[in-house]
Amino acid sequence: MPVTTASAKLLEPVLQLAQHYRLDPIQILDSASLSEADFTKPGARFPASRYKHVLQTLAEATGNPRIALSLGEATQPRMLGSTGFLMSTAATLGKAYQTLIDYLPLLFEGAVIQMEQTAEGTLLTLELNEPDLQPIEYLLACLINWPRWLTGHQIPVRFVQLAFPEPDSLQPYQRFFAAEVQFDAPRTQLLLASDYLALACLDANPEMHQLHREFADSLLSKSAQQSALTAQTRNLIRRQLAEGGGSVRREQVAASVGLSLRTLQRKLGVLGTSFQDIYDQTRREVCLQLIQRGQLSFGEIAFQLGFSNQSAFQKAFKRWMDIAPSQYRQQIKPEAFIETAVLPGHQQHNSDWLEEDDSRRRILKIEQRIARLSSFSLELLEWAALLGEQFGLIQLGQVTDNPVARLAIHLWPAEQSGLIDTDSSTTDDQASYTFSHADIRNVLFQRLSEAEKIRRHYKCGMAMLDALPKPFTLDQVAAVLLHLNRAQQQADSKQKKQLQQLNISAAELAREQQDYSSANRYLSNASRLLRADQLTEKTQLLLQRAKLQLLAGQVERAHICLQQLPADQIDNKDAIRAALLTAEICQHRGQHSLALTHLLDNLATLDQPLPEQDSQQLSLLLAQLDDISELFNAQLMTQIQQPIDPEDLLRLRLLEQISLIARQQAKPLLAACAIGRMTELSLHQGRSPLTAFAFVSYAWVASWFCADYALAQTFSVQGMQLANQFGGLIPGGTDLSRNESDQQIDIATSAALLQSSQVQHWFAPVHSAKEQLRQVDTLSERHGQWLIQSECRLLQHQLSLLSTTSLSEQLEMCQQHYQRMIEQQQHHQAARLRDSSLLLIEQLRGESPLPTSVQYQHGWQAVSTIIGALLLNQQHLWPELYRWEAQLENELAGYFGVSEALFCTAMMRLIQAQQQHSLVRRRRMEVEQIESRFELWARHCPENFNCQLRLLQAEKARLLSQNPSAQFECAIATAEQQGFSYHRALCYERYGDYLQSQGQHSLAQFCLHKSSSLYLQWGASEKVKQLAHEQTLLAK
Amino acid sequence: MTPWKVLVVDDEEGIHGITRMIFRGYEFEQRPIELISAMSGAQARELLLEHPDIALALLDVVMETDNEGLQLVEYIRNELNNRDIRVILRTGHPGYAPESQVIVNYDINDYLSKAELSASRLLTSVVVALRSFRDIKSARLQSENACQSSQSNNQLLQSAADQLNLQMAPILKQSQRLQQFDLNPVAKDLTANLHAQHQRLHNSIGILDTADQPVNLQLIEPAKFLDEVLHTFLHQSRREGWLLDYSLDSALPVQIKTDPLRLKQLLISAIELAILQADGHDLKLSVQPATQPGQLQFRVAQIDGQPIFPASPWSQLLQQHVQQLCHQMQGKLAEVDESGAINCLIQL
Repeated sequence: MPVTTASAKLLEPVLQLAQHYRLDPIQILDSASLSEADFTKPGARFPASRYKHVLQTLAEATGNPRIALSLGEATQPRMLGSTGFLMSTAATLGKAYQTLIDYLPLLFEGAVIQMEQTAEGTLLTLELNEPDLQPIEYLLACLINWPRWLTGHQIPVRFVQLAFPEPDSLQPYQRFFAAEVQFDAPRTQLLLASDYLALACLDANPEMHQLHREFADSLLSKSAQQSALTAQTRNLIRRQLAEGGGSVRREQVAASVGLSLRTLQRKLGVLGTSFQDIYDQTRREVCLQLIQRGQLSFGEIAFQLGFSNQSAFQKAFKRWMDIAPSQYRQQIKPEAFIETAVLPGHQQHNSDWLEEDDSRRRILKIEQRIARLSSFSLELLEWAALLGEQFGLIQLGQVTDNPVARLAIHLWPAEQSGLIDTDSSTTDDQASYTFSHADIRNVLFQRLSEAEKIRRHYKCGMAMLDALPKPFTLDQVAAVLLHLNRAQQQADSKQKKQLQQLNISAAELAREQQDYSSANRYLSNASRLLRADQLTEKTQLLLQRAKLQLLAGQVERAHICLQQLPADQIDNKDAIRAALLTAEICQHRGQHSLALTHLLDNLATLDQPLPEQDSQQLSLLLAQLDDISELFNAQLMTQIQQPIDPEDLLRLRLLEQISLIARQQAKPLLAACAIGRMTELSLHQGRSPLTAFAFVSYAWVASWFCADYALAQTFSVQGMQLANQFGGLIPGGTDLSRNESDQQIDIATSAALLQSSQVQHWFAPVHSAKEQLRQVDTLSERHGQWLIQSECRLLQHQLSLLSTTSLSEQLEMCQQHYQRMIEQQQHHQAARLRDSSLLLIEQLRGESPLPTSVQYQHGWQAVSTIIGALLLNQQHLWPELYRWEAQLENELAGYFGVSEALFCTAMMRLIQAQQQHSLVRRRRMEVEQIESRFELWARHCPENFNCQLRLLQAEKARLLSQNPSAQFECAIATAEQQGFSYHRALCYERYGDYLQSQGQHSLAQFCLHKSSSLYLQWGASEKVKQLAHEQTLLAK
Repeated sequence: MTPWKVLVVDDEEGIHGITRMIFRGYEFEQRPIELISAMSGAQARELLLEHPDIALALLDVVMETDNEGLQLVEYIRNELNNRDIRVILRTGHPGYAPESQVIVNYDINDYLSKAELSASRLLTSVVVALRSFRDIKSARLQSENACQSSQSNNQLLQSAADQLNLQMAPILKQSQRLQQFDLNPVAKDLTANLHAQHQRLHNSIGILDTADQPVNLQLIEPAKFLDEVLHTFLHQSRREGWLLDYSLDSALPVQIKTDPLRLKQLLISAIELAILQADGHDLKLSVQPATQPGQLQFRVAQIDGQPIFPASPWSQLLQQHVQQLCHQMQGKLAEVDESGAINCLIQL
């Protein structure tokens, strides 16, 4: 006899364990009679008889005689090569074990496992040519341990028997198996509860399973392993039986192992067996399994096993089991018969029988009831399970393509056994039913083999597809795709194409309904239908999916989509589209500088890169200004319409994002360069969807950097006109196609947001931004532009502090928006809102403690902190805040909030100087500087800046011992006109303070009272408290 | 109209460009602005000589050298001796303000960070500087007119000061001699106070004295010297319940060579001023070598509390006096900042 061998894969777990114990791997390989070089060869094998030495070596080296048990526990099926893969991809645990049995010789020649269904459960018997304790221990441990890897469930063993003499201590075994362990048994066996075999494997995958099986078969036939021939033959027989032809053709089996029938017979003879023996044995095993599963009648079983008639089957069964099949069934399923007996008395629609038990027992009960249905009823029910919780007869007729299915009569048995309920409101013909319990549908569905599921889904889907109206709604196409997407492999290439189109249409419909995750799923299905060589299409779909994930607020998933892009086979434009999405992801995560670098790098692939040095940026800015001033023709812009080169559009997109992020990153000059280039492109190439954004942004550049207010205003007006006209800011203003208008709205909102944040207030009252921001908020919500929305909300809250809306109302809104940002995983933006408006409102309302020290975090926080420190008179913070000005100005360049912060810091300096009776030169310089800026700003927009200017002048006059009364009066008058919330109160407060110092107490009282009531009206209870406290101090 | 001449010194062309753009067509008090551009410190020096009527210089700090801008200011103030021209410095980092010493010593109007590119910031900075230049010019005109009339006034004051000094000298001498008698403790305390008051009175008279005194250099021991000075204020501090502490930097030599009379006047006046500002808070006098070799730094600072700057003529007089003494000792008085600390620098 040739030497039996074992796969070297068996040594992998041993070596892992050895490494854990710091043992020399060579020693292990030595004991397996294997050199290191041989070990590393693919498909390496070693003499099976050496395995016990390997385990012995390990046991000695670790000082643990029961190490084989631990080794079994540490062995994952996947470590064991093709046999392991075969097991893990099998549909159920039962099938996985069956696979192991069939292909065990690949792993360990000379070992045999048998699986038998008995009344107690499933019995696994283990036999070795050379029965040594340690290999047996190992394999037993594996058998018990693997279900955990395969199904995710730990499976209890009922008992373990070993055909070995009892050792000194049973304890390690009992502990390990957690079951009754018996030695000196006739055979080595373990018993499991049979229902566990139906557990689905986690990695079940019919295609992969098939692949691995083919590979394993080729290994089996290639090798001259004798015992494998038996297993292979058995396996082929089993498969032919399962395919259901009934008879098994010996010649075909022989051909499948690459032998003539005669040679096969002869070789089997050498092994001490015969084809007939194996055939008989296999039929017996299959037969017992089929009875156990309980799906088929004995007639069907007989047919499947290839018996020509029932009595032949009965005879054979008696020979195998010594009892009649019906007796056997009664033995293993006594319950079923008792239930049948009491069935007539059962309440039909009562689903009580389903409620009380735990789910496993419920499933068993369901299975038993299902087993009693006629095969046609069962088939109908299976179709119904495919259709959904609720189904109708007409539907059933359609999908089964069988008019008989429409007859309610066939469903009566199911109804009677309490599996389904009828919907009483319908007539017989249109009757509709529901499953009595969700598990019933599941059980029915799980009973179907994968192939059968696919076949049925396919049939079902195709039937529904024929009935699909045109144009269809999302619900209609969703129902069709539910089936067809599960049966993709059944479709031919033409159908695949159609299915792909359907998925894409469904994705569009879902996107329209803002069901972004469904849209993504449809696109994912569409992409699965592509051929491997359709890379461009695949890339497109991935990009769209990433966008959808972002719309759905799933930032991480969007990232995963982008990672799947074939990096080296992607064209330039798609790479830029991907970069734009990546940048968006980075922004969601708060990695703005990374986003910026990424975009700049990508711009460099298309265009002149933007300069990095401040000085070069400045020069570029000037050159752009010259160019733009020359090109700009106010009359023409709204009329020009030119087809846009997609590449130009991408370039504009990149520049737009660069400008936005650069601005946020306190690089206003870089932002300005990007905007300048966008404006030049627009002026050269004609109107594009981004022109509105470019113009409005350029208005900021012109006003902020160049102090050219006239140019700024013209650009702003032109830009907003475009945004309104083409961007849906005015509802009903456009009749562009859906896609185009979507894209334009995207850009219109960002143009409008920019105008509100950096441009508008230099020319128009700040309140007028409110309506526009509301519009931006609504539109960005509708289009899932979450970054724009959150930016818009930050600004809304900053500006609404100036409105007369009560703080309690503002707080509520602010908290809502904050929650929303958190839910959308926009932690960065959420933190900004929390540190700024949210905190300030809480402080003003006395709900948050006032800080003892502050640190600059970001512009939004800086503005709020500065306003709060002035209003709440936190003088200890003031000197620190003066230092924030320059940084703040760069970060929120052009924002109204910056002017407000500067106003506050100037006030602080003046108030502090009054207490010290002197304004040191440096502070005076700084105050004069800010005052002059307000003078300049007030010249262009007195509505927004006059009040602040007057108040600053009044304070300065007071400091210089001039009579400031007239200026205070003037400040109050402008504040009343301007209507900013706290400015009015502040003017009265300061005037009161002055009057108090002059001894004009009753006038002072009046002013302070007025101030206090204004603060109260606003809701700044903390401030009101402070004022009251100060007044009582003064009274003393 | 004659334009305001503004010198822009920067080695970056872009800065000149943006400045030109912002000021094109701009007028301050109906006078246009003429920008004069220099690309380096050297060129700026030439242009300064060429245009003595420059009102304002916008200087980049880092050009040929790391502090070219500062050297230029030094050149303007010390070599050209032009105290009127306004200076705006451009510095490298946002939010970075040069040492307040630099601003004060070189009389710098404003500092702009290179990243501060908001047009309104530059515009208003220039406007504020020009306004200040205008005020200086008109003040100078006025004081030249006033000078003649105050001449006679000064002579009167000087003769009064001489007379007071003459009367003060024997009083001081006698109260000092009183100290050397072996008196009972109460009397000793009284005489000590009396002498301290006399010394302060003497110092106050010295403020009226505008005549230049000859320099008289001697070796003194700083510790002993300071003890003596501080003793002068002991009585008042006890009565009012505040502390006057001093610390000497360990790097100071045991003996220094200086004019003890002037130094004493300087210290007493500085402390008098600090007492007025501190309004009852504790004070600390510290002495240490200055960063530049051969110079000594005195600092009288409030230990806690906020200073109050009295606007009385007396405190202004005190401040002028301290400043004058510093100049006489080839040093300077730093501008008082918000903390109220008085920083004097003198040459040894």
